[in-house]
Parts: sequence; C-alpha cells; structure tokens
Amino acid sequence: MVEIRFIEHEGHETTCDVDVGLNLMEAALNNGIDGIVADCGGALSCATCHVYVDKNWQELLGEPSEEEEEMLEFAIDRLAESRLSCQIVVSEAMAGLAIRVPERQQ
Amino acid sequence: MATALAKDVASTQWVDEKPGSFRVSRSAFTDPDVLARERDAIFDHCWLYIGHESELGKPNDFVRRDVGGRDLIFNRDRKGEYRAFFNTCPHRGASVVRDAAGSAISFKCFYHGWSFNNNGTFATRFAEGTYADDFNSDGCANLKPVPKLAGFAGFWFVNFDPSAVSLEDYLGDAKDFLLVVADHSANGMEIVDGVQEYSVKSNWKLLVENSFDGYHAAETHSTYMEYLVDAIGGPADLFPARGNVSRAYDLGNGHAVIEGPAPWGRPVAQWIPAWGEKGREDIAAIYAELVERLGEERANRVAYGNRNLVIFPNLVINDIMAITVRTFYPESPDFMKVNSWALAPRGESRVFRKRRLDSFLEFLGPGGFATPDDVEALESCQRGYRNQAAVGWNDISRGILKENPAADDESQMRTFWREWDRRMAGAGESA
Repeated sequence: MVEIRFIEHEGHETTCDVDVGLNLMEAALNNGIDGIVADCGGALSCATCHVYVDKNWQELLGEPSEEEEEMLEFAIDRLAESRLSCQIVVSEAMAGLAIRVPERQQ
Repeated sequence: MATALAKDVASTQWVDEKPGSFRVSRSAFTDPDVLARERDAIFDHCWLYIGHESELGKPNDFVRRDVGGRDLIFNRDRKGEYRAFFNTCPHRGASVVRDAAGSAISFKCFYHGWSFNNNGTFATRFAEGTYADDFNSDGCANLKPVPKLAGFAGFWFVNFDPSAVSLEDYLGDAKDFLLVVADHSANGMEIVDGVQEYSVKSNWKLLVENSFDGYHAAETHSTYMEYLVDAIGGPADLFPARGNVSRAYDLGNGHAVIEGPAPWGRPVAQWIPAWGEKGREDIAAIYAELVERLGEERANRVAYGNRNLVIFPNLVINDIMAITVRTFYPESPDFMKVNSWALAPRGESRVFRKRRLDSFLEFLGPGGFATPDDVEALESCQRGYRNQAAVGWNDISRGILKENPAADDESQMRTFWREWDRRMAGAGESA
C-alpha cells in the first residue's frame, strides 16, 4: 500500500492507501474522487481522467507516451503538469504523491 | 373458431375453447408466420427474464445474455445501478461485449475502438474537425439502453416495449411465488456458477407445457421414479398441512404454477432417510429458522412445497429437489435454445449444497435422468406434427370441469394458452 493524496479543484483533499500495481485512475475511482470521470476506463480514448502532477514528481513518473501526449490534446485546461491518471501505475516510490484534479474533465 | 365462447377478448384460429373442450392447433407449433407473430406480439411486449441479482454481485459486474432474440449486456455501473444495453456498437454494429461475464468499468468495441463508460456514455474523443461539432448531442454514439429494466425479489427482467405496464403489475399474483423462492434463505439466494446450455428440436411452447406438466411425470420419467425409490432410502416427511394434495393456480396475465408434495429430499427443508440422523438434525435446524423468520404456514410452503412456476411467456422456476431457473427462445418453429441455472441459498452448508447439486444434475439438464426423457418427448411431438393435415389439434382439456384443478390436470397450460391467444389476437393493433 502506498499513500496517495488527491486534491480536488475546490481544495477538498482525500488521502488514499493504494495497492502497488493499480493505476491512479483506478485509485481515484475506488476512492470516489468525483473530479475523475474516466469514461473510457483506461482505453486511452477519452482524456477524462486528466490530472496535474507537480514538476518535482515528474522525473519519477517518467515522460508520457506518444499516445498519452496525443490524447492530452483533448484535456480541458491543459498545463505543463498535465497527465492522464490511467497511464500512471503506482509504485512504492510514489509514497506521498499529491495529485491535483482539474475543475472539469469535459 | 371459438365463436360460441364468451371471451372478453378477440381470439385466434389457433386456440379453440368451448365448454368442456380446449384444443390448440398443431400449426401453432410449425408455422413460420406464427413465430413471426410471436416475436411481435409476445417477445417484443412481455417482460423477459435477463438474470438474477446475485450474478452482478458488485458494481462494474456484467453478463452477456441472449433475450428475446436480442444480444444484451446486463451490468451494474460504477455507482452500482443495474443497467441493460443492446450489445451492438452504435458505430457499425459489432458486439461491444464479447465475454460471457466479467467486471469492467468501461466497454471498448474491438472493431474501431469506440469506448463507453459502463453507464453507456460514449467515451472516445476525436481531433477537432473529425466529426461535426454537435456529434452525439442526440446520444447517437452512446450504448442504447433496453427500454425497460426492473427487478423483483432478486429476479431481473427487461421489456422492449417502452409503454409496457410495470413489472410488478405484469407479474400479478406470481409475485408471491417469486417471494417464496427468495424466502428460502435469510442470507439471500444465489445463482450457482455455471449454466446448462442445450437445444431441443421442438417448438418452444412444448417446453412451456412440459415445465409444469404434472401429468407426464410418472409415465415419462419412470426411470427416475424407480431410481428415486432406492435413492431416498424410505418414506420422506411430506408436506404436512396439505394432505398430499397438489394443486394448480392461475396467477393472472398468463402466469401459472403447480404446487404440492413430492417424495424427494429438499435441502430446504424436507428430510429423506438417505441423509441419515445428522441430516435430520440439520434439516430440523433449517426448518426452525424458517418458522422463526416466516411463521409456520409459510415455512411449511418453503420447506415442503414443490412448485413448477411459469412466468409468461418463458421463465420457468422449478423449486423441486433443487431450484432451476430456465429460459428458452425459438430459433425457428421447430428449434429452441435453452439456458438453465441452479439457484440456491447463499451460505448453504457444503454438504447440503452437494446434495442439492447432485439432485439438480440427476434430474435436470441434458445429462440428467429427466431432461433427456423430456427432450425425446418434445421432439417426438414435433415430429408428430408432420401428420397435422390428418390430425390437426392437441387436446389440453384435462380437468376442465374441475373447480380446483390438480397439478396433473392441464389448467395451468390453459392459463398460458389463453394469454398467448389474447396477445396473438391483438398482434398488429396499436399498443
């Protein structure tokens, strides 16, 4: 189990214990994070599990794939910190990771 | 034609009812035009069974089901709501769900990759300019929900007619017989993993009749009855309050049931000597819980009553030595596909679950003592209808003069046929 925090747009914060090997989208759905819509369920076709990951964590998480980059084109309010949470698989090294959830997904 | 009979609805040329006589034309079992009319008048307007709540135990669970000639998805969405969709991609038509069962937060068509939230919402984004800006503003790219979906006592049904009456109104007096099945357990009921899938070269209505035909059992199933004498090891404790009387009941809207005692053991809760003294103690404990929870009268119905129930048009729930839930659909006038499941109390002890499933397989299904007998009987009837130019009518009049027809009479079949006749006569009229 790894502790992950989801910080929603209006500031509400949820701390979750997440099994290593799940992705962050699954973690969000399992913990009722309303700001993650995740319509396509990880098929990399909808960009509605869009999140922001602070720059100092990006090195650990690695670069988004080309397919994720293409899908991020559809993300609303895209920033440099934008990622799709379905593409980030939780590892032990992510303990304490804070994820910000955008105001809207669609 | 049944012109002399005082009926409050129109009738067809297939059912001929007069005082003291009830006959059905054999063309109703062979004519492709009858089947086409049944699809319209019956399967497109009646509530049809899609599954049991226990098959979707958690949010995101799904099963794929053939119901009324349609390929359907029956699932629970992420919030746990029950849903039913036509299993066809809005894009080109491919099956979106290709597994028989599973758990999924979304569905993805394998053909072009269109994705859907498991609440049916289209979930694929395209680059600007690929589609018109208002694409899917009318929901044309979402999975199409079945017009009506409803559950009662754990049994879920669909209806393809958006203006159909509510499920509860449709079920009428059959509701109490579904509740009696649900009453078997304080912990709820569950479909045991697995399904019996088989086909019969006969018209589907022959299996309706056969499923609650108390008249044929001793003759057709003599092998099983002889086996049973040895297998039960002596006389059972039978339905105490019923004086060994089996009855048939018209439940309204074409639904009917036969109810009465039977010599076999029932894991809830009729002991047979073959289960020994430990089995007698265990059954006494199960019975005591039933009495405490339901009162003695209803506990006796649950424990000792055997019920063969048909919910019009084609849901069979036979609560006998085990419980079978069975549906079947015609592929042609002389061919049907059958699906049967075993229903059992959740949390049942291992030894009684084994007895239940052994009994289920001994009697029911394509490998049992009884179903092969029935299949041969049904297929023999169907072959017999080749002679319909000379011998054109089935007789279904047994017990027609009785005020309280017995389970080995045929009033329950007449209940089915009257509703069939009423709906077929109304085919083509506006709903």
